[in-house]
Amino acid sequence: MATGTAVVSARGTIVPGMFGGPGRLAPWLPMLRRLPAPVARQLLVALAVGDGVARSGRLHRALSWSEDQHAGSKWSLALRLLANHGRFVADEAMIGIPDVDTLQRDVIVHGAEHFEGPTSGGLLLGFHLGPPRTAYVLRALGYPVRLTGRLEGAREDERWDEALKTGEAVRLPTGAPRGRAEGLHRIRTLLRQGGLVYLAGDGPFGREAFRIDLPGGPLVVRLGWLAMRRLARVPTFPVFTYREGGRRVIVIHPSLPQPDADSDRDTAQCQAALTPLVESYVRRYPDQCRYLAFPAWEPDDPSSGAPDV
Amino acid sequence: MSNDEILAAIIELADSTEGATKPHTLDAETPLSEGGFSLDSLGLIELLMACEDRFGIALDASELLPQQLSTVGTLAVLIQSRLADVRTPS
Repeated sequence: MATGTAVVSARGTIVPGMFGGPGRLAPWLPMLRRLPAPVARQLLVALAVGDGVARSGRLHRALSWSEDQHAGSKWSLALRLLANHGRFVADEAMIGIPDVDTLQRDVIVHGAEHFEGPTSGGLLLGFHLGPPRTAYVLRALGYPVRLTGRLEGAREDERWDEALKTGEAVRLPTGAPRGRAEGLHRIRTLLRQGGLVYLAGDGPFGREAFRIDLPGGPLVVRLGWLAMRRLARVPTFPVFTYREGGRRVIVIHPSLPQPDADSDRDTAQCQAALTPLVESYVRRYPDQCRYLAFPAWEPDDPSSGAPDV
Repeated sequence: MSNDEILAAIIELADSTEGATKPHTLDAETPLSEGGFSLDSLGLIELLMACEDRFGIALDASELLPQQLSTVGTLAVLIQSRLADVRTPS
């Protein structure tokens, strides 16, 4: 196990201030950023808990999720889940993180040796579990990870232009499939050139590949990364992040089995390898599974407009 | 290779891409996604790769524009230009 030390300068042109939080937070961001960081973060924690209590639906979901976990008092777990929601919203918006140096403090990375060998490059497969922005934290530590995603903020912030041009970040925009196809083609090229690309295995986008049944509800795994690993023929390293004792811990697991050209066989072998990893995470850190407890998207709801990747 | 041959090859490859539907008309104006072959973004990538194999070209990711993936005809123009680059290397 290695702790996170910079292996190569990969900070590039992306700075924490380029990240916004959830859309609902946008009007409040200027005010939150003017407050002392600990105050702003505590405010978001208090709001998340207060919001959960005031909006009985969210509290009900938190209690329901907690009840299924068999992890001590359901009220305690539900309140921790709500509080973590506030903390992770703050992380998402980089509240209290003015620069890259701040971001890399109190981070431990386990398993980076898996992609530090002579055959570097591959797909880092993340999930919406635990603290957000894992790919960017890895970049801050010096790992040459390319960010991918909708990057909605990049549409109106020209500071993203250089990062998008150089491939530090790749947009997979909503809307017509050809926009995302362009992004996917870019990702495939980066992977085949030995790049390290972070892709989410779950989320609102794309065709469903399989589900991992969990106590509080299923985690829906998407097809995009599975197709990409077969198209680019690169190793895939599952990545999980959790917060423990005031530190962010990033765990990079050994590569999934080599891609199988047969899509059904490949999906089956990945499902078999990923299921115990996800189950173990949820058992250990149920209070950090905010997107499983309060989905930001409804994967089965056709009106949610979730586009195919 | 003539433009008609490229169009015919793209139509054949698009038709055999997983998830493709049969469009009402098959010509240069046929959309690759909505209203045509109904390919999603993964289908479009598979089609691009199939085109690379079929025509022996490499499509530069940094030069690829979304509008080049609109119709059979726009993709044909892209392929034609890459074939021309292959014939006249700089």
